[in-house]
Amino acid sequence: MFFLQAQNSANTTYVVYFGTFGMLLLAVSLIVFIVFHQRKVIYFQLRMKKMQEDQQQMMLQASIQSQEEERQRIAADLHDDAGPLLATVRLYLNEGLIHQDQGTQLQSIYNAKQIIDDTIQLIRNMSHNLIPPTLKNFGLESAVNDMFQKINGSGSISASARFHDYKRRLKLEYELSIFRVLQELVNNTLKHSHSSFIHLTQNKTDQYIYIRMHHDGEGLTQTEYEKLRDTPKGMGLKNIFSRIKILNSKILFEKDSSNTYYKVTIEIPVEAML
Amino acid sequence: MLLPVIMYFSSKSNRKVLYKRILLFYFLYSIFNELLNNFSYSKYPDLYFWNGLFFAILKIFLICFIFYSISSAPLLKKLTIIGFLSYLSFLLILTIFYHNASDYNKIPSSVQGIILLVLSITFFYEKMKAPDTLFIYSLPEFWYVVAILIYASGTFFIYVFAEFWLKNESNIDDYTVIHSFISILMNIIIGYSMWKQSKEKQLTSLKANIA
Repeated sequence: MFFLQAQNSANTTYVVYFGTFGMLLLAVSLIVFIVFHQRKVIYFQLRMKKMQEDQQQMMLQASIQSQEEERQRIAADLHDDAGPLLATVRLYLNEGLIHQDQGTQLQSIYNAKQIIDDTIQLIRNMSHNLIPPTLKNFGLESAVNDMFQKINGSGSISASARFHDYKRRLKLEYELSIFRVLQELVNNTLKHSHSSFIHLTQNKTDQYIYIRMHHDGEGLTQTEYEKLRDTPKGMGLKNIFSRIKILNSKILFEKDSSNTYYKVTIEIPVEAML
Repeated sequence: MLLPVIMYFSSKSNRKVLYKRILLFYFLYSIFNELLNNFSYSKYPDLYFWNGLFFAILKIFLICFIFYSISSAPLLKKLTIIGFLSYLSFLLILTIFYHNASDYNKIPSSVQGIILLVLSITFFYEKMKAPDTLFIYSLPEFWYVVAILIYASGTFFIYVFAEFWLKNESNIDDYTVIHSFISILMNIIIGYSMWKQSKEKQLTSLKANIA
């Protein structure tokens, strides 16, 4: 400033005029830029909000659809399996039975008893499908081992699990949701991956619990998962996403650096433990 | 200078807004200051100097206070305090060591211009960083800051070159033209910002009546 004032210039008037004009032009340009930029940012934020709302809507629809499917499955099981069994029992135990000889009566009662036992077993299986008793009574580790034992029984794929630090269990609602996510992941692996093994590990740090599933078949990367999740077809992946989101956890799909297997990692906050 | 005052009284809602009351005070005092300057310029140079000095301090204080009251970000609040204190220190040093009756409104005015430019740009930066309204120009405080920015940028060069430029008396008219033009522009914009709020209130009440 002092330097400028010390300059001896005959054209100071021009400098002042042009300088003032330039400064005004800069100020006006700045204001115009701010107005347009701010509107652009707000529009972008609104668009992002709309996208998030759409995604939440899709999640909600997926959740409702999955509930409806579950109800339909239970209704079908009751109607197609329990209904005919109980109707047969009614046939065996009809009013005409008292006019039959004792041997026929005993045979009918025995048959009815057999069918009632089958019905009890059927209802128990249905109940186990809704909430696995192993999960409720013995926790996630036992439920996962139970599930893997059944998969191993088929002989087509080898499944194993190792829980390194699971002395303290997760809260029941967390265990149930994580188990459903694992069921969906295992199902997808069995259906699409053509892998020869599934291996699941559990680890814990001070802040998080990690459940990691490896397999050597064809799998998904995070980008593919996010892409598929947002399509109308990816119902299972949507359910996984919404369950993980509700649990305030994270899921990461990745290909191992050695390119030999795929892994899915679930990160659960340690606050979810009992 | 009367325009913002008239606009202030055009709506009762302006009385509820703190920074608008400060603006009213500022404009009323500016009118008084102009009258006092005209009276004291040739007759009482000391009065002219001390009045100018006092007005410079009052002006930066009020402008910083308005910036402080309209800002929602801590950065701008901090900068207003720092800006005001630095200006005060600068003015103090200048008055003690370089006391000159013709200088009070030239070099300090340039420094004041820089402070106002920094505050205005920070205000816009904060608004860009955390936008909370779709049309920023619907905010009366946006127009207030626009007026300050235009005033600070428009008068920056004439203040920087003032001492050298005004040695030649033929340039005084040019100086007056530029300064008056920028001041009128600032007053019109501030008047608009006063009117803006009252108009918004009217629209809101109109909508309420329709509903």
